[in-house]
Amino acid sequence: MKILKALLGAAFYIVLFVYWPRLTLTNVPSDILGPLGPVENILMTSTVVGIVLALLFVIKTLTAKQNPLNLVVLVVSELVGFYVFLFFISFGNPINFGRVEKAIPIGPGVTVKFDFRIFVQLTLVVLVFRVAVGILEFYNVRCKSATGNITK
Amino acid sequence: MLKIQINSIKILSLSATFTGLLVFAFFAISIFTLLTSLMGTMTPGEGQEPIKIEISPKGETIFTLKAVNSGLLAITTKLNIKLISKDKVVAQGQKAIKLLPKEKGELKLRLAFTKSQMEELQETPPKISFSLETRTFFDLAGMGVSAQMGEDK
Repeated sequence: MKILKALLGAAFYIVLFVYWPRLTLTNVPSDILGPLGPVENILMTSTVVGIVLALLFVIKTLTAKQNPLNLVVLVVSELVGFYVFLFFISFGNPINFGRVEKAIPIGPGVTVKFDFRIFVQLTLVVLVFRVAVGILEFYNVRCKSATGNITK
Repeated sequence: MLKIQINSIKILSLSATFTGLLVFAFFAISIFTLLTSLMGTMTPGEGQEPIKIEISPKGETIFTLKAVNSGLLAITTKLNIKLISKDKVVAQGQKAIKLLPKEKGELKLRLAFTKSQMEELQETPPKISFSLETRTFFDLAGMGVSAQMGEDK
């Protein structure tokens, strides 16, 4: 049952981050995607992220909750998720931290600006909160396992 | 004691999930509000320009922009105009308007010139640099567009 859950979860991440972007982005005209940067870069990042998230999900599902690897996977998954959000909200340049200014080729000197720094900061707060809760849950499961209240 | 601990961890876990969903929902609503409002303001209708330029009898240049809020959150629309001649800013002005959801408003920006400036501008028509910015979510998130019209000679 656990193996089936792990495989289905992994398939979901592969479809979402590897298959779906290839299907949609290759059909969008390149001048619309121009400000986002080369399509190959976006597809490469999305593929790497999809494979990493699928692997992390498989490890997390197949390891026991009291296993330290489970906690490490949880933290890494949250960090990868945050990086994905930052990558897309910063138009492929995470160092911009949600504030982007791009020239678009529809007229001379036409630029568009996006400022989503507040959502990057809020997502960071949520990440810290979720990791803290994950650590508390992990120690709780370990305590229960040590006192014999839980079986593997 | 253990039961209380389990319950509090469950509550914390649920609040973490709820907070994440809330942030995502506000992000989606903000993007929707910004995109629809900016597009609505920039494309007022067929044959209509987003910014109307008039010259008053007093010699003032009046820029009029009809701003709309087609989104779900309150917005602030800010118009900034600069007149550039020979790489120097001859005049500039800024005006902002706050709009509640589904509200419309008009932004009027007046730029006044001295007689000598008017003569200079008639000799060398200026380049108009404008930027239109819309902010929402307590003015913490925004989207804008800036462009230049005319050629600086």
